[in-house]
Amino acid sequence: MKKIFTITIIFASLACMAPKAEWENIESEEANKLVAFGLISLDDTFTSFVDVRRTLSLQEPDRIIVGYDTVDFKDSTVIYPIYQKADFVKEAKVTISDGVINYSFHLNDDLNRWENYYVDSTGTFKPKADTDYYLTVEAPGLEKLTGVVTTPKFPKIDGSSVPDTVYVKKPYSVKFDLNGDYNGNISTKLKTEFKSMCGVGHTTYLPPKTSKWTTPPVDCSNLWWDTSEDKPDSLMINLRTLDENFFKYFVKRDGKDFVNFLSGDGMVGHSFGVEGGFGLFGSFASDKIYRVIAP
Amino acid sequence: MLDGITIYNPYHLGGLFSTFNTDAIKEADFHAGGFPARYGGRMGSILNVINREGNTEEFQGKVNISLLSAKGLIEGPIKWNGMKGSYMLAGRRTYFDVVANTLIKASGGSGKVPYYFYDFQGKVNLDINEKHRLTYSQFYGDDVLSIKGDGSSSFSENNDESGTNRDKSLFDWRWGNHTNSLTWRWIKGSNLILKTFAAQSRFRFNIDLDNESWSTNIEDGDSTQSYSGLFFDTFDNILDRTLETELTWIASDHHTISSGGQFKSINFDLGMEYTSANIDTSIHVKPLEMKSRAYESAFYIQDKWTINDRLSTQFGLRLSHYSLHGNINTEPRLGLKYFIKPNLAVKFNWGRYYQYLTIANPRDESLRFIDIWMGTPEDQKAPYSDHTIAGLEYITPDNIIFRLEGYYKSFDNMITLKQGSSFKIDGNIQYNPFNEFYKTDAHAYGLEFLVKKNSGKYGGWIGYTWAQTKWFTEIDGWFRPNFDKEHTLNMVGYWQRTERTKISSSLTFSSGLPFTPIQGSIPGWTHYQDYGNDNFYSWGEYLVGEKNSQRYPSYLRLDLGITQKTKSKMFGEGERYIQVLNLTNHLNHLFWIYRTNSNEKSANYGRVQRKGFPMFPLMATFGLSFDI
Repeated sequence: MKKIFTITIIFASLACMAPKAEWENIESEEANKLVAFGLISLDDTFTSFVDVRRTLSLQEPDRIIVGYDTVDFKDSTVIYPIYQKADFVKEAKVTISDGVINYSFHLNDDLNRWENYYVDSTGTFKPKADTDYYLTVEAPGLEKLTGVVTTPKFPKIDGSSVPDTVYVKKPYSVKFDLNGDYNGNISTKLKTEFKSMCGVGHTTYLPPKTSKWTTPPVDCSNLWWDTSEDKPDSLMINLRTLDENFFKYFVKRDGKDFVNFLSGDGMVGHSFGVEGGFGLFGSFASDKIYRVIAP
Repeated sequence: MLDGITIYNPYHLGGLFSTFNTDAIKEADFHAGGFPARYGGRMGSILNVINREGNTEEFQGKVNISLLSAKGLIEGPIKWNGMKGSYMLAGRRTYFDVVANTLIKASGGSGKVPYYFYDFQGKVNLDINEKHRLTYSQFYGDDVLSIKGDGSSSFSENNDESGTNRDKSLFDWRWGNHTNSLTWRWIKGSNLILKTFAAQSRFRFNIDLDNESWSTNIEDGDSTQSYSGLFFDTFDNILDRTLETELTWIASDHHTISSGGQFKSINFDLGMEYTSANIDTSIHVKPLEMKSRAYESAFYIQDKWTINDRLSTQFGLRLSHYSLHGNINTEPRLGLKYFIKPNLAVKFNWGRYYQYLTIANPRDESLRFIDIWMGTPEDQKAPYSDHTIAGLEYITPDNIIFRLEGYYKSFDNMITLKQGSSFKIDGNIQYNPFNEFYKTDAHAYGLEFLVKKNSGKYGGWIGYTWAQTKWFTEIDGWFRPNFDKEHTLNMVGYWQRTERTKISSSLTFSSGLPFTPIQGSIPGWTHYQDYGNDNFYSWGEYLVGEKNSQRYPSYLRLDLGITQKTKSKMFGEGERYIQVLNLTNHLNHLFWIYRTNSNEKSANYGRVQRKGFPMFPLMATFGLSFDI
C-alpha cells in the first residue's frame, strides 16, 4: 500500500509539469486603413459629423498618453496619465460635397474626448432630403476613404392623431407617413433637458410601411424614487426615416462579423456606403411634434 | 454506429476519450469512404463498432482500476427454457476529478476539476432454436461538466447601515447517448439469412447557466431587499428510431447478394432560452427554437461477385428518400479488387452518398465539444458527396502489410448556419438570421500510406496521411475547415520484451488546425437612444483576417506504456500497467485566448496579446486489471 501511495504521489506530481503557456505579443503586417462614421443629420436636435479613426495593427497599443493630471490626497499628490484612444486620426482632411459645393469639416476636440468628431464649423452645411452626398477623408499615410449616401425623405407625423395632452399611464397612438420605403424610428422624450418623468421615454424601430405606433404599457408602481412629484411637461415625439447604410449598421447589424466566445468577438470590417476603408456613411431625417404629457 | 445504431456524438471530452469501452468491443468496421450500399445517410465515413457477445460457456469477468478511471466487465452463458445464449455487461467511470480534487485540496489549492463521464453497455443473445436468434443491445453514457458556486457576505457600517449579500451560480453541461436495439436473425437455409433490427438512439445535450443574487440592506431601521437572476439554457435533443431489415442470399460461390430496407424517424429539438428576473418582474426570451421531425427511408441491393481468382467486385444501388424533400435520390456504389499477384492487389471504389442531417454549430467556433445536429431544412437541397478511391495493397511473405490509397471526394449542397445577431424590433430582441444558411461546397483529396506488422516480438503500424480539404461559402470564399490537418503521422509500436512484459508506444504528429487570425483592432459604433437622446458609443473590436488562414503550432503526442502479467493470491491472474501520456510534455494548443494588456505598469500596456490554451500535459497513470 505504501508503494502504491508513493507511485500515486510521483505520478500526480508529473501532472503538475504542465507546459507553461505565456502571454505573447503578436504582430501583423497588414496596412492600416481609415475607419469613418459619417452622419448627415436632417434632425435639428443633432449635428452632422464625421468620426475619423483608423485600424490599429497588433503591435500598436490601443491607447496613448496625451498628458498627465494630478490628484491631491491628504499627504501626497498622485500624478496619473491621461489616455486617449490610439485610433483617433487628428490630421485628416474631411470633405462632404453635394456635388456642387464642398464643405470642409474640422476636428472639434471639445465635443467629447472619447470621440473624434469632425464637424462643419462654418455653419453653412444645411443638408437636404433625398439628395446624394459624397464623403472624402484623406489622412497622411493612409488610403483615401470615400463614401456616398442618399439622404432619406422627411417623414410626416399626423398631428391630428395625437391629442393635445397625453398621459404616461394611458397608451396613446401616433399616426404617420414614412414617406417611402424607409425603415424608421420613433422616440419620445421630455423637451426639457435633464428632466425625467417615469414612463415618458420610448424608442422603437419601425419597419417600412408602418403608419401607426402605440406606446407600450408603463408600470411606475415599484420605483425606488418618488414619482409623486412628476408634473405635466412638454413631450417631444421624434419620428425618423433611416437610410439603408444607417439601418444596416446600427439596426440590422449586417455584415461579416466574427463571433467566438473563446477568443473574443471581432469583425472582418464593415463598409456601408464607404470605400477605401471601413465604417459607414449614413443619414436620418426627422419630423417632430410637441404635446403636453401628464403622469 | 454501435451495433448498427447511430451514435450522434461518439466522443467523451471532445474526442479525448472514445465513447466505446475497448474491453466490450468485438470488432470495428471502418470505411473511410467508398462504403457499400448497405450503409447510407453519411457523406464522410462510417465506423461500425460491434460489441462482443458474452461467453456462452462459463462466467467470466474483468476489472480494471487505474488512477484515472475504473472499468469492469462480466459475461456468461444463459440457459432458459431449453434456449441458450449469453450476456455481456460492461461499465466504466472516470474519477480523475475525485483524485485531482483530493490532491488539490491536500496541497492547499482552490481549483477544482469539474468533469467526469460514465457509460454502461450490455448485450444479450438468445438462440431460440438453431434458426432464430434474438439480440438485445443497450448503451448509456453521459459526460458531466458541472461547476457550482455559492457565497455570501455581510457588512455593517457605523451601526446605521448593514446588509447581507448572497450569490449562487451554476454551470451545468451534460451530454450523452442512450441506445437500445433488438435484432432478430433468422437463418432461413444454408444460404439465406434474414436480419431485422429495431433501434432507438437518443442524444441529449444541455447547458444550464444560472446566476442568482440576493441582497438585504438595512438603513436607519428600514429594510430593502433586492434580487436578480439570470437563467440561460441551451439544448439539442435528438431522438432517432430505426427499423431495418436485411436479406443476405449466398447465391453461389461467386455471388453474395444483400438487399434491405431502412426506415428512420428523427426528432430534433434545438433551442435556447433566457430568463432575466428581478424582485418583481421577469423577462423570458427564446432566441432559438428549431423543432423538426424528419423521416428517412432507403432501399438497397448489392452483390459481392467473385468474378475469378484475381478479380472481385461489389456493386450496389441505394435509393433514399427524405420526408422534407419528397424526391427519391439514387446512390450507385461500386467496388473492385484485382490481384496482380497473390500478395499484391489494386482496389477501386466509387459511389454517391446523400446525407440528410446537417451540423448547426457556430460558424466561427474554434473548439468543438459536440456536433449540434439538425435535419436539412425543407428549402435546402439534399447534401451529397461523390467518392473516388484507388489503392494498392501488398503483403510481404512475413506478413507485413503495405497499403497506399488516394482519394478524391466532392461535396455539394452542404449548408453552414449563419451566425445569429441580435437587434430590436418593436421593443423585442430579435435574432437575425437564425434559420438561414450559407450554401457550402467542398472538396477533399489526399494520399494515405500504411505499413503494418502484427506478429512477432516487435510489431505495430505506421500511417501517414497527406490531405487537402477546402470548403467554399459565398461569404468566406475557399477556406480550410476547422478540422483540416494537412499532414498526419501515426506510429504505434510494441515490443514483447519477455513473455510477461510488453512495452508499447504511440506517436502522433500532425499539422496544427486552422484558425482565423486576429490582425489588429477596428473601432465600431453603436447607437443607443436613452429616453430619446441620441448616443453613439464607440469601442474597439478585433479585426480578423481571412477565415482559417493560419494554423496552430503542430501537434505532437508521444505515449508510452508498460504492461506486465501478474499473479497474486488476492486477485488471481491479471496485468499491471504504467502509462505515460504526452511523454515529451509538448504544448499542444486547443485554442488561443486573446487579451488587451491592461496592466499599466507593463511595457506592453494596451497591446493585443495571446496565449495558447493547452491540451493535457504530461500525465501518468498506473493500474491493475485482473480476471474474475
